[in-house]
Amino acid sequence: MSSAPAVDSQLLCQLEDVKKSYPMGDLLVQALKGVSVGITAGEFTAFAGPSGSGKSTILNLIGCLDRPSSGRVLLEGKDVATLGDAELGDLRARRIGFIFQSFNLIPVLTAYENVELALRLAGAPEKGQREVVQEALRSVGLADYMTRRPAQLSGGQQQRVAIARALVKKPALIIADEPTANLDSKNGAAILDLMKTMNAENRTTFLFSTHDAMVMERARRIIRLADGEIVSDDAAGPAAAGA
Amino acid sequence: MTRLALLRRARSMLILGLAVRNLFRNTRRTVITSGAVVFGVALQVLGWGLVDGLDDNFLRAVSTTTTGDILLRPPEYPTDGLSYPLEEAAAPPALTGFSGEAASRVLFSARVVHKADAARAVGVAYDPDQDYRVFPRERWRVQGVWPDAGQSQVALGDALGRLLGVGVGDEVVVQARTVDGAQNALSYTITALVHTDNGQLDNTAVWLRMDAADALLQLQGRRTHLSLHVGTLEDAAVVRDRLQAAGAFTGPDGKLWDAKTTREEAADMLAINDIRRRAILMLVGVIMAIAATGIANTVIMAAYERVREIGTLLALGMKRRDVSLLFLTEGAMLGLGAGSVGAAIGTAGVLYWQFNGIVLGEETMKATGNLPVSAIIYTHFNWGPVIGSLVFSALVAIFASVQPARFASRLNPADAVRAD
Repeated sequence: MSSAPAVDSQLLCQLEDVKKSYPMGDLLVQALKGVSVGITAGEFTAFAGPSGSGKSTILNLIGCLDRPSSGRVLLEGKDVATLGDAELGDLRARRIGFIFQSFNLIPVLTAYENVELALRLAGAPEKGQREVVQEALRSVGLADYMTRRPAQLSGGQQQRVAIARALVKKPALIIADEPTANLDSKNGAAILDLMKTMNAENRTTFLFSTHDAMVMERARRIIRLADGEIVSDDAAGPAAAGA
Repeated sequence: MTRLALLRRARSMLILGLAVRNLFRNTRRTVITSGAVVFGVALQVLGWGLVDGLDDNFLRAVSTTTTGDILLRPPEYPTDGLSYPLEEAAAPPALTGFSGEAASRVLFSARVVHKADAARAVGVAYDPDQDYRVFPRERWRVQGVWPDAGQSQVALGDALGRLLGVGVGDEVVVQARTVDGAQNALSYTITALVHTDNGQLDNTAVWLRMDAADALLQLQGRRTHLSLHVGTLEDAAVVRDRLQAAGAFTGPDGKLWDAKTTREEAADMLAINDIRRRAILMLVGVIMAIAATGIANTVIMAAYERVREIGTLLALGMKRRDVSLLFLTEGAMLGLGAGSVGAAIGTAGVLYWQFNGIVLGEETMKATGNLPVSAIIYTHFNWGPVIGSLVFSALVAIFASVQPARFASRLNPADAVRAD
């Protein structure tokens, strides 16, 4: 089942009949089978579903990490299929933040440098960079850990650095792929609450892929996938309902 | 500075910074990989310094003892340096138009006899008023004094003296043919044993003043060698050509004397050194090929180990060409870093031996036979091999990094960010 695109004048991202297939050996695996969905600015949305349902593939496409086999992916009105590698890179650098399941920090850089890296790749002016990076780390509670390398930080702290890295450039969209999967429940909840605060304070759009009930509890919208198709789109998730 | 230029500079600094950090990520592996480059570059710089030093050694040995800057011989005189036919001796040219120092000599085959012992020798008849102006003797070691005018006195090369078991004050008989081919033999007192630092002379020379040689050889004003001192070796060819064109080398009999610069005289030995240089280059080439394999292996391993990191950099917006540049920079820095260490080691060695010299042992000097080689070799530092080997090592490292860089830059970020 494919849901209709969200009707909103502030549509940040739109997928129109998007299909994605991967070669696997001699087979062609259909990861997405014609998905259409719209994401409005400021959403806190979870893509949920079992492994292989296509939730990571959707995030890859929205995050401009991959291109659809057919259909259109529009980000801020731009069809990403028409953009070259360099333009996609620019788009990712300036408009999209990523939070990964395994944190994906650069091990040879300190917490400060990891966050700064995102700003430098976004081409932010050097002037004032230090204050912005320090503020980002302060906002995730790591003011005292700036000079530590990832190996010297706990999993929860690493994910906080990743959040600061994603937020520091003030992107329109943050894509979080199973952000709590490698954290214990206490750290996971804290990370989610932090992201929710950022979402509320900055109106930054958060998209998650997850099968963690804790994430789904906090999401305002849950889009469920199975076998490459959207099977439900709960625009008013438990969090929204409770709000 | 424009915004674009600022961005480019910032990107370059970012890539450089990351490359430096990555090189020290696995220090042990980096050090091991660098080893071959360090060895290859050090060998090249040191080897080159040594062979350049051998060139200097040989040129110095011949120019300060036998050739001067330009050596003239009679027209038919052999130039192989192995035979000294006195019958080819001729009256020397007047050197009209030449304002530098000149010294004439007569070299002849001789036999030196002391009691029951005898040795083949090369007689060197010199004009003392001229000779020291072309061949400064400050660095020669003379045990005794040079022969006096009008006396039956000779000086012997110190090694020849040792061979015959003679010393200062001993009597020897010198046998030789006169200019006209007649056998002659005269008795002389040895006044000095001379060490010129030219093994050829020290092993074989019997030094006689020209007046003493006249009595033995009946020279009648003829000479076999005329040496000119013109200043630097580099000036010699120009001066020779100019003087030759002006007819300064034409003898009184109208025949043109053959004129060669020291470098031309030494061409055979210098050619041998060129072969040594090629051998060093080949050896360095093999070592650098091994180094390239090591660097390629290291950078490939780095690329495979860092797939997720590369994916993250791409996800954060790093351009593919910058990812490629990052790996090429890592390779180049590895090559340049290791090359610099190798060049520093090689340079230190070259400079040390440039000032202290490498003293060839007695056995080594014996092995050089009658070659005009100095007993001390001073290495010769020049920037060419240092810069050349640094550029070479960087190029080798960059070349070895091309394939890993291509692999890294072509990764699909969607897959790479989730790699194990």
